[in-house]
Amino acid sequence: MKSNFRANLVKLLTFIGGMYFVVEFLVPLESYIDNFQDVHSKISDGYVLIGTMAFAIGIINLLLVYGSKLVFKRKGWFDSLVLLFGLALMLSVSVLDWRESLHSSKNLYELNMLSNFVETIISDSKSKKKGVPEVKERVRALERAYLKNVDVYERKISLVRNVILERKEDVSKVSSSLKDYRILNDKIKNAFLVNADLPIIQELISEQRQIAQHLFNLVYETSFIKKLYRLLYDGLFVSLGAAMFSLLGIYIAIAAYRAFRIQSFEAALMLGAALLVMLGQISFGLWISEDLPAIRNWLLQNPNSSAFRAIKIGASIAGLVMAFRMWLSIESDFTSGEDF
Amino acid sequence: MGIENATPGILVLFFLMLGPLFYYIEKAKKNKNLYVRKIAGIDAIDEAIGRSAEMGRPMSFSTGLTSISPTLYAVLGVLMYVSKKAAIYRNKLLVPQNNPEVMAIVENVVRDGYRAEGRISAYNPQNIRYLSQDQFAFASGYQGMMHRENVASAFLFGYFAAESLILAEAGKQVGAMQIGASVSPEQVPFFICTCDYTLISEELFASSAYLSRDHIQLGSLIAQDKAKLIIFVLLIIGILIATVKSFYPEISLPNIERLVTATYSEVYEYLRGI
Repeated sequence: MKSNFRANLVKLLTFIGGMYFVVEFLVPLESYIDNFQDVHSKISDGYVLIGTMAFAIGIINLLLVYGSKLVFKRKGWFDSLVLLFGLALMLSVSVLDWRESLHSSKNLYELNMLSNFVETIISDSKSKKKGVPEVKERVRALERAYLKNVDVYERKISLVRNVILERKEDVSKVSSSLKDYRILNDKIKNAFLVNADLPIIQELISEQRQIAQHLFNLVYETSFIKKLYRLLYDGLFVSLGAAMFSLLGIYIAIAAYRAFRIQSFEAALMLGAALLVMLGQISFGLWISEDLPAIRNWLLQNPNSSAFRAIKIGASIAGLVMAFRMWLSIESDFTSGEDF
Repeated sequence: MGIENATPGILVLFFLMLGPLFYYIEKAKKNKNLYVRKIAGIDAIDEAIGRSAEMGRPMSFSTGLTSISPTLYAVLGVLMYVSKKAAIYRNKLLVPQNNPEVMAIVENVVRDGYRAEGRISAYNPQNIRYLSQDQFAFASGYQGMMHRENVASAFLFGYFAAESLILAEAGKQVGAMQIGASVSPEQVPFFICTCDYTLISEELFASSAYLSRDHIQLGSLIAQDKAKLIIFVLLIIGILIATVKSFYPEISLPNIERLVTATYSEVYEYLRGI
C-alpha cells in the first residue's frame, strides 16, 4: 500500500513536470503570465539544484569505495590515498578560492548600487514613472550617496597598492589604474556640481566601477589561493585531460588499421571510400587527380550525410516514444518503483 | 500571442505518434509473440555474460556520458537484464559512473536485478563506481579499472563522445569481449572498429524490448516503427513536391515544412480558398 502510494506520487509528479514542459513549448506563456521568464528560470534552477545535491552521492561513493581500501589496506590502498588526498585538496582549494572571489566582488557592492541607482533614475524619468521623488531630488540623493562612499573607496583602493607591493608583484599595473580612478573621482564630483547630466554621470560611474573591479581583481588574481587553484586546475587537471585526449590520436590510428584490413567486401568498400576521402582532403590528392576533392565532397554530402540522417531520425523517434513513456509513466518493472 | 509551437501540423504529428503507442501496447498485452527481427549484437549479450562466468573474470557495464534522458531509460532495461544474469552466474559486475544523478538510478536498477533473482546478498554497492564527471578523467578512470580488474566482457551502452574510442580500446587491450551501442552516429564507426558487436542508434532502444519481451516495451517498439513510417511518408511527400516543383515551377505547392509550421489562420484561409 505504502509502496503503491509512493509509486503513484512519483507518477503524478512526473506527469505534472512533463505537462509543464509540453505546455511551455507549445504555448507562449510569457504572453499570458507576468514575469513568466523569472518563474521559468526558477524552475530550471530547481533542476540544477537536484543535480548539485546528487554530487554528494558521487563523493560518498568515492569515500566508500576508496576509503574502505585505505582503511583495510587492501590492494591498491596507496592509489586510493592519492585519490582521496587529491579530492580533499581540490575541494578545499576550490572552496577557499570561491571565498576569495566572493570577497573581491563584495568590495564592489557600493559602486554597483550607485550604478544601479543612476540607471533606475534614468529609466524612471524616461518612462515618467509616477509615485517616485522628483529627478532633482533623486540626483541630490545620488550625490550624497556617492560622496559618502568616496572615502570608503579611497581606503579600499589604497589598500590594493599595498597588497600588490607586499606580494612583490608589478606595481606599475596598479599605478596607472589608481591614477585613472582618482581622475574619475574629480570628474564625477564636477559633473554633480556643474549640471548633473545623468547620462554623463552614469558613464563616469560605470567607468570608475570597471577600474575598481580591475583593481580588486588584481588582488584576487595574485592571491596565494588563486595561484594554487591555477596550478592544480590549469597546470595539472587540464594538462592531464589534454594528455588523455592526445591518446585518441594513437587509438584512431590503431582503429583505422583494424578497420582497413580487407576481410570482407564491405571492409574493402570502406577502405576505398576512406582512401578517396583522405586523398580528396589533402593537397597531394590534386597531383593524382583534380576530381578527388569533388569525389570526396560527393561521398561526404551524399552517402555519408544520408546515413547520418537516417541514424539520427531513427534515434530521435525512438527517443520521442521513450520520452512519451517516461512522461506518462507507462513503464516496466525497473522504473515503476514497485517491489517485485 | 496565440499558440506558439502548437500549430495544427505539430499537434497532428503529436497525436499521430502518441496514438500508436497506446494501441500497440494494448495489442502487445494480448499477443506477446510479436515479431522482432534478429539483432546479433543483442544475442551476443548472453555470450558475453557466459564468457565472463567461464573465465571467472568480471564484466563491466558503462553508460558513458548518458544523462537522465530517454537514452538512459533504454539502457536501464539492458542493465537490468545483465545484472540479473550476473546475479544468477555470480559474475562480478562493475558499473563505472560519470554522472552522480544517473548513478543513483543505476544503483537501484542493479540492486533490483540482484533482488529479482533472490541474490541480494551477492550485490556489492562498491562495484558501482563513481569515477568523474569530467569526460577524460572518466575515460582515464575507466582505462585503469579495465586493466586492474582484467575485465572479460564489456558493455558500452548509451551516449558517448570523444572518449568512446579510449574506452573501447581499453577493453580491446585486456582482451575483453565488447558490445557497443551508441546513439551518436559520430561514435558508431569507432565502436565498429573496436567492439565485437555494435548496436547502431535505435537498435539500442530495441534491445530492452528484445531481451525482456515485456509487452510495454514491445508495444512501444512497434509504435516507434509506425512513427518512423509517418516520417518516411512525409519524406516521400517532400521529395515528390520538390521533384514536381523542379520540373513545373509554375505549379504552386506548399513545402513540407509549411505543412507543419502553418498557423491556424493560414490553414483556415487555405481551406476557405479550396
